[in-house]
Amino acid sequence: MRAQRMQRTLPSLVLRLLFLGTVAMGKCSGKYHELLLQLQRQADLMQDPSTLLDPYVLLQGLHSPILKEHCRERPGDFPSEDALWKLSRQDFLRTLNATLGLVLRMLSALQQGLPEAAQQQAEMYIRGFGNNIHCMTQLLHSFSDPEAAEPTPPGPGPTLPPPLPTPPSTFQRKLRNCGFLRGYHRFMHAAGQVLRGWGERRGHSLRHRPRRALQRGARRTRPFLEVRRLVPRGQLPR
Amino acid sequence: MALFAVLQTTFLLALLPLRTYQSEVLSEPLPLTPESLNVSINSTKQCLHLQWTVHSLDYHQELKMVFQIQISRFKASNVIWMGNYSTTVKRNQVLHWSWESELPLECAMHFVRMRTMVDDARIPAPRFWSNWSSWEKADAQSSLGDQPLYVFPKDKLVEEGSDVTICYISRNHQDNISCYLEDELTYGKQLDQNVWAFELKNVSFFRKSGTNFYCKGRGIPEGLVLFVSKVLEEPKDFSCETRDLKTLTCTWDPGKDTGLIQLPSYTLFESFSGKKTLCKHRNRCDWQVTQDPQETYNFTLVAENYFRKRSVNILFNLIHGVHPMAPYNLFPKNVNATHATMTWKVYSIGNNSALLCQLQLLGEGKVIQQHNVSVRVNGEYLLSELEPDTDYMARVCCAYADHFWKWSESISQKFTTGEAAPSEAPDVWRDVTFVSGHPTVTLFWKPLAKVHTNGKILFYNVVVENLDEPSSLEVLSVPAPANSTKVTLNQSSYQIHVTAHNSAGPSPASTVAISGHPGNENVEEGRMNGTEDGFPMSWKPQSRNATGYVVEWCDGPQNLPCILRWKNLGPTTTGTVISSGAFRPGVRYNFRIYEISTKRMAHLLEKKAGYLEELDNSVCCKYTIDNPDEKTFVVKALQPESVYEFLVTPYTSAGEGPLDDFTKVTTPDEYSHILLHIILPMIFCVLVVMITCYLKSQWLKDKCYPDIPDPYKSSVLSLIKFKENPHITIMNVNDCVPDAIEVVNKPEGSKTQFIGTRKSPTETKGTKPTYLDLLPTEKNYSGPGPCICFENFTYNRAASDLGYCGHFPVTPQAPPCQLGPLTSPENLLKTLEQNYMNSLGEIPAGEANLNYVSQLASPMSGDKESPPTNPPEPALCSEYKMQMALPLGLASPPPGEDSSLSSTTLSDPSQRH
Repeated sequence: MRAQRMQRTLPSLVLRLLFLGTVAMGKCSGKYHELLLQLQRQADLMQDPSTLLDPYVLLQGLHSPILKEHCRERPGDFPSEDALWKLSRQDFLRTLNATLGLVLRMLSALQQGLPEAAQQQAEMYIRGFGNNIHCMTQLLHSFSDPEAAEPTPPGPGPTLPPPLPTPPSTFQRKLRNCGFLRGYHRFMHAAGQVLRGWGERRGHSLRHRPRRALQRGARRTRPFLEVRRLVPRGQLPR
Repeated sequence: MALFAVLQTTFLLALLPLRTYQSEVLSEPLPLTPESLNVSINSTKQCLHLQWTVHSLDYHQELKMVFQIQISRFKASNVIWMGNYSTTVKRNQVLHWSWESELPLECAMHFVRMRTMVDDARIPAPRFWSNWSSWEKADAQSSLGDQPLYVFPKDKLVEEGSDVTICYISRNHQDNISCYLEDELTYGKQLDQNVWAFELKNVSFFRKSGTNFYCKGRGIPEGLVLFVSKVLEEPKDFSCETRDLKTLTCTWDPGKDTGLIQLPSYTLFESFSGKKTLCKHRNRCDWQVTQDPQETYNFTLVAENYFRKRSVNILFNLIHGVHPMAPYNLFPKNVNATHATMTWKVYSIGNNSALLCQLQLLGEGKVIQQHNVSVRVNGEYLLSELEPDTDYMARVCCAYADHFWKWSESISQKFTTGEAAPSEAPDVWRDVTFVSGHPTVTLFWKPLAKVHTNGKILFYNVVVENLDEPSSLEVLSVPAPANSTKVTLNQSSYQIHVTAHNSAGPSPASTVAISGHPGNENVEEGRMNGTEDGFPMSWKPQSRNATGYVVEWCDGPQNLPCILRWKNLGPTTTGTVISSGAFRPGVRYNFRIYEISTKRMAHLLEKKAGYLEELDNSVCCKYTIDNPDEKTFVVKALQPESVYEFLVTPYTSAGEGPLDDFTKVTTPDEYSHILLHIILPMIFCVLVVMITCYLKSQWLKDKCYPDIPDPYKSSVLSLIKFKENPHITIMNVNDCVPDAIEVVNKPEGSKTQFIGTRKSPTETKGTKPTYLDLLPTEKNYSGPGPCICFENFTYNRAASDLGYCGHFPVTPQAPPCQLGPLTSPENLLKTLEQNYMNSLGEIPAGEANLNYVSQLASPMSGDKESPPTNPPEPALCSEYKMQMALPLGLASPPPGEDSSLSSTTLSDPSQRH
């Protein structure tokens, strides 16, 4: 247990330094690939169930096979990976941000149900990830034409758990929270895949554009990665 | 009949007033039935809540009544509980009563009815129960949804050790439902067709987040969490104290945690003032002392949780519980070698009450001094009798002077006293040797003990005083930690004073007197035996004025450099035991005993020698030679590279003769002769191998790659030399007379290079002389640029066979010796293909070796100075060319043609390749 905590502590320290670096400087890194890489790594770390789900299961005594089997993500809690792939980059980031905001609220509600260290670490991850989302949004903004920068409605964002007909028992809440945390890790895995796709699909970025954006035709901004390739950082072709 | 009717009426009329009187004064003994019985369910508390009224009472009546209650489960006839409830009832009063069910109420329908009886002393017996009320139904199941499975209660808070009943309701009785307490399958009993109950006895604490009980049918498991609280313990060690007479702090040991997120509450009551405070901590509570100080407090601490309430009490006197704060700012002041003043401060208590402070002085972890000081604000104390240059620690704690209860926490401070001059003279001894009649004195001294140094010894002063010349003083300063020095003197008498110095000053001097002349060394050496304790020895004093004696010896064996040791003894001492950890058995030690005169002069008194322990024959190597004529004796089994001492002494039947000096022998290295036996043959073998290799390489060289003939050392030159110019070293072709052709037969079908002919190599195969055409003649010379080509067919045989040598019939279009075909793309490609194919293994291994090219006569590599007219090409013409000087006229290309690289190369001897 202690060793596990140690294993989790080291990467968390590294990440904290990364996050603190960004926050302390008060400005975002303008390096797209650096930022993307950070987001990918953060997503990789956050999708690891040992950071949140496993401590919760252990603390709540949900480790029996039957209960584990029913610790399932409820449909609608988090967007599916398919849905994420269909989003534009801006919408994707917006969705990500909104979802993590919800997770953050859930974590606050779970205060007594999680080991303190795990909870603090998860919150730190999410806040750091949020910073980088913000920076990435700004960066994408700076590379897009004004039209592209216009606000778009958020994608299939997170949904709050629907109210139960009767107040849920503690047992039901345990299973529910367990499923939610499982969904969170799944969602972060999916987000990591999408972010990895950003890195891999240089020059094929149109594929990850919303259908609506494609229909609007050539007046939309050129695909980000094409711009990246042709123009030095911070400059746009006129 | 009529009379009977009249009498009856009269009797009734007579009774009526009595009846009226009775009803006005006493209760009517008639049964009173409970009315408006209402049953409700409190699921959280698992309670049936009953309320009802008794209407039949008079307005002013107040009767004590008993209500008998029956509770049935599932059906009215299944009575599970019956009990009485007594209370005083007024008219129209709504009565309440609750019943807690061990079975969750959702799992079964309940029925309740009651009846009543007047139980008032004012009503004479007999008493009657009223009729039962009608059954009232309590049905919690009706409010449930349509879930297939329900488990009740929803959550449950219980104390460790209690019993809990859990039930489930399955809508589909065909479902196979299993229930688990944590991971353990639990078996229950069926209460109804769809209802099962589980009795958990003596539940124990699992974790703070509760114990999970769940049932699993076809769908999602349903369950509950049992929050088990450990039994709340009574607070222990409850006590109060004050640090400043302004705030009271009460502390206690709350015992083990109840294991729930909800902590027990702790409340402090004070009975004299009637005040109470809710404590913020589970083991401590603060209580503010009012302006009008209350001296005595009666505190009650109440610990309370959902299940229990525990309390402890204490009577506390404020003055008796003063625990001062720790003093602060403890510093040493005016520290010297033996004194230090310690100062500190204390927090004031009340109206500057006095504190009793205890100052402790610690040295090496032990309390050396302890002093009590009365302090109001500032404390000060002078510590004396300190040791110089010593580390100390001062420690101070304080207590309330008016009523001692507890020392405060202590503070401590380290300090070091200053240095003082060393308190003792160093213990000095000397070793005197005479070189050319002049005494050379080596002075030794022992380092002072820590208690005498009083600081760090920096250096030793050696003052040499010539007693014959009082004005002559020589001062030597020897830096510490040296413990000896050498002084060369003349033949005068001297006194040498040695002092040790630290930063505070010198120690007392230690004096040694030296005579300029050797003393009496002819003292007979006595023998002695060592014991376990060392060497015991005694001597006879020579002078009555001796101030002391010194025994000196060397710690190590005689063959090693002497580590001089000495021992000072008092003037009355005539014997001692010399012990040393360095003494070893089987080693001879020599001791010299000196008497010290009043003038500090040392006179040799006695010499003694002996062994601490004489080892036996087998180890000590003591041999007995029985034959008096034997003059040699071989001692075997000695250790290599070791030093041995031996002596031979005669013996008779009376005993051994005198012991002479030992003779030293050092045994040689054990392995040197062995190495000699190995190394010499090895060197010989290596030499033989080297010679063989050399001969073999020479043979190979002769066979495979003989020396390239040097044209400057050609035998032809010797012919030219004596003709015209004896100094000529390079053969000029013009000087040659083509009067002889040497033909060398070549056994194989090798090709001959024809210079100046138009015949192809294939035409000449096997028919022409095979080695060379030495010089062109007018007959066969058909072109302007013949060249001479010596070929060594040992090299690049394959290339030669393929005709890549480049020696082609010279035509006007083809300048002489130009390797035109090689530079053409077709030939190059062909060659490359050939080489490539060879590399793929088409060439047998033997042939492939023949492709080794020793010297490439590339036309491009010849002339470094002339600009290359063609781009460099791979030197495919891998022939060996014997380099010869060419006639310029023949070799020069036509005007406008590229110059022949090979011809120009040869014209410059310095650029030979």
